Amino acid sequence: MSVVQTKDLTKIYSSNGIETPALKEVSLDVQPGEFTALAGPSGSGKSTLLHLIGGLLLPTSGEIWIEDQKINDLNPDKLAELRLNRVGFVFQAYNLIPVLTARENTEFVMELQGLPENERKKQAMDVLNTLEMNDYADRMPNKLSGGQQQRVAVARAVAAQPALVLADEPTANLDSKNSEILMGLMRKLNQDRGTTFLFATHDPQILERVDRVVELHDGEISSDIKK
Amino acid sequence: MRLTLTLAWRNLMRNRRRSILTLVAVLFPVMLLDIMWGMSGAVQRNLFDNTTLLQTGHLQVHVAGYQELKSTLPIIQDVRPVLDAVENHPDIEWFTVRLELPALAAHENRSRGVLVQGVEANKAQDLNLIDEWIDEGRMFAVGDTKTAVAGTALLDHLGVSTGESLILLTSHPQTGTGVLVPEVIGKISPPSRELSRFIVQVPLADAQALVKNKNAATNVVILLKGVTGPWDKAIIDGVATRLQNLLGDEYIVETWEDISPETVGLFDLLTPLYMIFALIFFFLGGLVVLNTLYLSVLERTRELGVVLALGSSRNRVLGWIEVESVVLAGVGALVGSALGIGLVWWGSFGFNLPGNFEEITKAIGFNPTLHLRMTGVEAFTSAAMMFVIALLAAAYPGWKASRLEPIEAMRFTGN
Repeated sequence: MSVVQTKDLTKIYSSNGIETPALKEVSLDVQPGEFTALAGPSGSGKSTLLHLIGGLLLPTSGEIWIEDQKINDLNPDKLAELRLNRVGFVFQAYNLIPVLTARENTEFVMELQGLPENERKKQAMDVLNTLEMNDYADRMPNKLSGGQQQRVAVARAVAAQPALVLADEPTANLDSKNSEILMGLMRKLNQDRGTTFLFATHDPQILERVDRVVELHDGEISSDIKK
Repeated sequence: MRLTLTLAWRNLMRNRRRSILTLVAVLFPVMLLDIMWGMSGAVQRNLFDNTTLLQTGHLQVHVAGYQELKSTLPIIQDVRPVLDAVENHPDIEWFTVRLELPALAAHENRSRGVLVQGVEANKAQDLNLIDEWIDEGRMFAVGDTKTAVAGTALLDHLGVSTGESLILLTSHPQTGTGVLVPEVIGKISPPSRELSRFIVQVPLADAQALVKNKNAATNVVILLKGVTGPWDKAIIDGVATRLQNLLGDEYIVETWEDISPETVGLFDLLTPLYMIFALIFFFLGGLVVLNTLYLSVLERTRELGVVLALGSSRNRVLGWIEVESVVLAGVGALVGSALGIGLVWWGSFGFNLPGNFEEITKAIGFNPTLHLRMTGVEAFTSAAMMFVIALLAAAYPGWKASRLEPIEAMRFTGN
């Protein structure tokens, strides 16, 4: 069963009566354990596609399936539930909760899921350990570097073991060294835990490391290359 | 839950100054309402004391039919059965016999209608009130006869000085006329200026001589054990019923509320007044809480967008804002209650209002010393009301936060 499947996915933004097509009949299939990048220049529609798959936007037409669940028809509460239980997010700007420590941020999604405290702590520390952040577990985000913050964001995304992690330009705010480290760690999570990653990026360092690159141009898939 | 509380507390600590100001805005209404309850209790107690100690007692015994003939001050021809009933009554702290007669007071070529009160000298002293009223001279003592103390305003009107005589001419439908010429040995200023214009107190035996009946009385005034204010209504009503049953149909037992309904009316007037003030305080407190939480939501728009994107339900976001409000309101209400209860406790020992207030309160017949009083229910009500209002105030920012669209919220820049 595919982790993600889109069929003829179209998204048109409307503002002040002006319609701007962002995606045009995009069909995509992502299998479990894939390490895939959506590439393309700014405005090509990769972030829109990522947000549609994550249930943060609703499509104008077409279908989106996450595993066995068609998500087009879900109401906002059901979409939130889907994101909570099946999808992890990594954002460009880290977006950690500034009043929670690294460990508490990592526990956050599991807290929303209602996992018991000891189980949350254990899973959070396991993933922080994998991401080499265990020594920084009790630090607040403002006491961490950009690279460390993004590692915590990745920990938060994967700690609850979602079917899919969506990462929107995860290395855009990092220098090349930290980008390299982060990509290495995400690859490790992908290999060790079988976590499926889908990136939206134009960072060559990511594109080099992924197994598959889906290139978008003007809202359409222009190439789909598996390495 | 622990993480939720941690999140709420740390969010409030982000902008400490604003949170502290909000806390003050929450605690002040609670504290002020507690003080207001305390003041209300003090004013009610003063009104009650003024009415019961100076005029009505907690209970009065009159002759049957008194209510129909009230204006003529009907006389109990033989007060002894009443005294037998009250003398060793377990609920009665104090009692005194009074004989009140309408009279004409005259001196040289001036006269005025007055109320002659025959009082028991020893019992009057028990209350320790007359001493405070004496402007000049002294109160008559046990065994004094043909002496009187009278209101300073009355004596000034008649041109009578202490040591001079006053002619008192009584006329009563049950006993006919009588004349007494006592020596004025004291000038008094009762708290009520009006009373000062027509009160003349004489020894009870002299008043009884005026009606030619040494067992006559118009009323027996009773103070009960364990009564400190109008809030002890149940005690007063209970004893009134039992005493009425004991005395039978020849007499009527009235409570202070029956005798002085205007004082009860004043209480009824004060309560809504306090409520209006309380509502204003709480409304303002609620507005500050709303403002704080609204600004806090606005500042955290991006963060709330992330939380929603991660899969938090909208109700949960609303719950977080409510928890922050609960923390703010809870701490504020607790501190406000502690301060309010502390101040009311301090004020319960009695204090005088500063400056001209003392003179003003005296002028309107009030005891200037206030003893603050608040019940546990009142203290709880203050804190609970603020708590509920803070929760309501959080509803709008909470609702706004829960309605955010994740993508738009994460793009929010504050512009």
